[in-house]
Amino acid sequence: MLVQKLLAVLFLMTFFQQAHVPPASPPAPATPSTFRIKGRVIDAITGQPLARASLALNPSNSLDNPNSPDSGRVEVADAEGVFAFAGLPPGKYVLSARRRGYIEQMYQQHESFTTAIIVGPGCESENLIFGLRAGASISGDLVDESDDPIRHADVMLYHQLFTGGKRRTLLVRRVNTNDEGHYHFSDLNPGTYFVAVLAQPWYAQHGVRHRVKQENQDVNAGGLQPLNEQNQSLDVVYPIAFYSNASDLPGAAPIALRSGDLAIADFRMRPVPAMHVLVRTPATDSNQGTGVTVTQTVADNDTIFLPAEVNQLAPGLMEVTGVPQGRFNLVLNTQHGNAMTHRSQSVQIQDDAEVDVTRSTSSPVVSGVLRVDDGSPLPPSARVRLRSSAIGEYFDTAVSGTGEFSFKENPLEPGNYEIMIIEPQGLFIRSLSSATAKTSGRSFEIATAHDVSITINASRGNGRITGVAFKKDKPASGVMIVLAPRDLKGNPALFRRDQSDSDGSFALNFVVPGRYTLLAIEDGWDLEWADPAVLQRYIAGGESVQIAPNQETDVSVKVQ
Amino acid sequence: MLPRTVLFVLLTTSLLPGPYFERPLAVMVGSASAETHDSSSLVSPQNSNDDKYSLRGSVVNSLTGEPLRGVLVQVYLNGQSSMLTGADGRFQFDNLPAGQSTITVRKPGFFAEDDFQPSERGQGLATTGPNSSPVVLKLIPEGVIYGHIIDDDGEPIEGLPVELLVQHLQNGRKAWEQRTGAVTDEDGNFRIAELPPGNYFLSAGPSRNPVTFPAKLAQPGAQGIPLVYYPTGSELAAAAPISIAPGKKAEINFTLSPQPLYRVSGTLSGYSPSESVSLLLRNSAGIPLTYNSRFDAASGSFRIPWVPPGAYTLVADAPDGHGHSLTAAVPLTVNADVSGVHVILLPTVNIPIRMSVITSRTGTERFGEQENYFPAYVQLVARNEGLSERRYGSQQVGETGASSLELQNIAPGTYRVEVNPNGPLYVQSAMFGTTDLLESDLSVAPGSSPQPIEITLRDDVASLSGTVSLDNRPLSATILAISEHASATPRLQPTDATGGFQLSFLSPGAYKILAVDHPDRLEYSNPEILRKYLSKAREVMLLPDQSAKIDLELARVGE
Repeated sequence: MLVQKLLAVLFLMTFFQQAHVPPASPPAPATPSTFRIKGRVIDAITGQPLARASLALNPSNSLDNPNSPDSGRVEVADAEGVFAFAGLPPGKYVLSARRRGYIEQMYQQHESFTTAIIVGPGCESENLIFGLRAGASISGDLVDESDDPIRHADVMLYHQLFTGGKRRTLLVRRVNTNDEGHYHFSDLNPGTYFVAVLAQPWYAQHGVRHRVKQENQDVNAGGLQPLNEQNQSLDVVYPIAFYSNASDLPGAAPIALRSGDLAIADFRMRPVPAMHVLVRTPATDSNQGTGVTVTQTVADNDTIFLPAEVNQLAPGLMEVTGVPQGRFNLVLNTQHGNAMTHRSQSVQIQDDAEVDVTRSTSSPVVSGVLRVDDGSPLPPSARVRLRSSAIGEYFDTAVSGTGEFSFKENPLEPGNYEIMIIEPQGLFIRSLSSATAKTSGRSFEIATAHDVSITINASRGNGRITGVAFKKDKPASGVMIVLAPRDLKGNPALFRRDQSDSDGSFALNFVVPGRYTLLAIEDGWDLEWADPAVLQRYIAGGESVQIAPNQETDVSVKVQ
Repeated sequence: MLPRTVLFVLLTTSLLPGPYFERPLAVMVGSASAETHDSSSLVSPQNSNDDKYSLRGSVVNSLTGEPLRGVLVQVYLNGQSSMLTGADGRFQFDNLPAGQSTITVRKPGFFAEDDFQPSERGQGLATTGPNSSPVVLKLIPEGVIYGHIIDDDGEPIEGLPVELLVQHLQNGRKAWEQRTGAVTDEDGNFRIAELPPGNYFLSAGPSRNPVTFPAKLAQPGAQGIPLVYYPTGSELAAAAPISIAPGKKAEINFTLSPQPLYRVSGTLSGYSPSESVSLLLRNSAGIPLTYNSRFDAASGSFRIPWVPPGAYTLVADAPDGHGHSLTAAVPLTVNADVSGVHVILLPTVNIPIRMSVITSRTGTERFGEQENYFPAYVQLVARNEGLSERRYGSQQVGETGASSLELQNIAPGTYRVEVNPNGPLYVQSAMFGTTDLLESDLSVAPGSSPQPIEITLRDDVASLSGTVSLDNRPLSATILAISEHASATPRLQPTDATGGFQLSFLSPGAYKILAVDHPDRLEYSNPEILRKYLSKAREVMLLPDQSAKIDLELARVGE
């Protein structure tokens, strides 16, 4: 089953309700009305039993309703790793385990799916083997060019993984170095990682390099002083550093971790001269505050905010300092009354450049209409998201009751953008159409400075498929269930997945009406299931299903 | 809308001078260090405008005396000049004009002397000129407290908060300050660095999430690590300080046993169903527990889970829906589940203040009608609050022309009253019913509607001046004027550089006047402590309108 809540909540909820639970009554085997979940926690790699593992059991329906009176329980495994929950009424339960040094997870967890345990007459729930994987860790020390530790540096951990069938690198953790320049990331899942560091020389003095000439007089605006000779050596920065000795993600060394690995990634930061960039902004009237911030795009979901310094030399003229050479995004933030607009421009900064962002105050605005194909109304909380494919920045906006939306607070640069529906759940984009931009799947292209209008054609996923997966006529648990649309190359948003529970049952929700093939694939969790060529092999062995709007249907499927 | 991933900060676009620009101080230079210049280098800038001078010096570790490499030194003469010291700890700025300026030094891992003793005059000043000699500046190495926490089975405890409290003197009163703490990592280790020298009290726990330990399975219910002070015990009073000298790295380890956690439940009454109620348990140090308390407005019942054993005050607050507040405080001792606690929310009180000023020339005048001028402001300081001192200031109520002062939303309890005159006035009397606020505290009973505080001020103030000397040498110090009234805090006044002082707007009456060198090290609000210094104090009796003059001997704090 699919569990969307965080594990910590599972444990916490269980404890909160524990106060209500009377002491477990001694198991009475003759009583048929209560049952047991029993098993052993082991190290998934070595097979050794794990003593003192802590297990939390929650009825599956309480996960959507944390305030329900249903009780959750916690037990601790004994020295042999054996645990038992007794006195359970029949039902479906989610089990999770936690132990120091191991990664907390649900029973047979894959991604966010788990095998729920069905308890009742004739159900097998007493011979569970719960494997936990030892967490891996990455730690290291940061020193500067004088071999002094760098404290309070920003260390970022990126994880490379396959989600939705694509390879992506995502920022997953972030810590600061301590006073000894040391950092560590622990309890990591096995996988491939990258480490990056953003630090500033603690002694850096940037000052201001430019002066504003007025008429024939050399006037220092606001008393800003030019730098003295002695300060030039202090006008330095550390560019963002990737392990090891790289300045960007493509050049970074991947750190491959297996369960229990302890990797070391040390850094030695080298200062480079800071740039002083003159930025011309649109001349503003005194009611508008204008600010400039500098960001850097690092990975798919991560735009880092750089600690640049910005000094205004004159209205419409600013000097940005404290940045190294490189490619950055200059973000112009302008206040209009109560609203703030943010316009990003990607610039290559080198040799004290001059950047002009005055160009056009009329940057294209994206707006449009969200249409649901069955004509059903939208809830008031409906929201859509626009994401820049190049920069990775996101902007959200509300959708009105009539389906209209506008990203007017975020005038954009030409480029490629994706649209997503954030709220409500259960609404999926079938296609985009536009007279003013080229669309493809869920993306569109802004090519000119003209405003863009997009129509989002969405479908409601209100179908539901339940069923049982069978292997050689016996229910199979822990199997990956995939619902693939008849056209495998079509919209990836139409796929649904689940993991079969201990009685072989599964449930697929939010199914968009249409024709599908239902598949049950044993050991399918490492499969690149989103690749049509890979999935094609299994189609013949699946079940054809057709779903009408609001239909619920029950299907049995054979495990392949 | 704001982008989700970019943390947005509007950077300054001001026309003000840049961040590193500080005005040079034009102050008579005292002794900056043992090795400074003589007074002939106080050359005024106009004399030798074109001559350029050098400023040389070195920076050393205050503990070991070793020179420090890589220290950032900054002076502010004709702009800001910065440089890093070399391997020998030396620095030299060239081409500076003559003059004086502050000189600052810093390096990660160290504190500057200025960080602790801002009242030390002459610190951090440098002078350039024809006869200036090299300066020596010191940096104080920071301290660290680190350690390891395990349970009685030897397993490390992870995720346990570790907090630091430091006791210092604020306005002559012992005050507690909480410093940034730490949380144990997966090996049970914690580390707190960047500590200035001082005495620290360390606490570990309570555990954020209840845990269950196998050996204790016989006991149902949640268990957790309660709050424990180093070296042992749950009360701050029993804690022993960890003394951190400059550069000290102290290792503190704990072995902690989980204790049962209990539930406190009961009912609340007197609340307004549409307003949100805040319920928390404060321990004896005044720190609130952060677990979720659950309150059901429909039935009035509440439940606070996972409470470690100990003594607490259950505090409830809610707005009454009409702009005022309701409050309640119930003391509790938790050694087992506590149920049936009944908490009655009662309105907080507003205490009106009535003031009159008597001028010595024309007789009584009643104030309160004059624009926005009030002859004095009143503050209540709550007692028995544990670590923190809470203050409530008087607020103006009513429209201009008919306004008065009031103390609003005061919860039941005991308070010290501070009246601060606004101008050349003194407090002749301050009464709350029959309680003389100059001698005793103000008590607010629950559910009472209190009478006003009546304050009478007079304008025939007295003053006192004089000089402080030691062995017949005048020197700078701080004067404490200790009045005869029990409630009054001593007045402080620093002398000038030659030991001369002036205390104005004093109430007539009997005083003990004391001159000390380090008022920041003296707990002068504590009569027991002050008594030891009184042999060096001079007694003086001030009459209305009198200006008196006395001479004092310096008393050194700590001897």
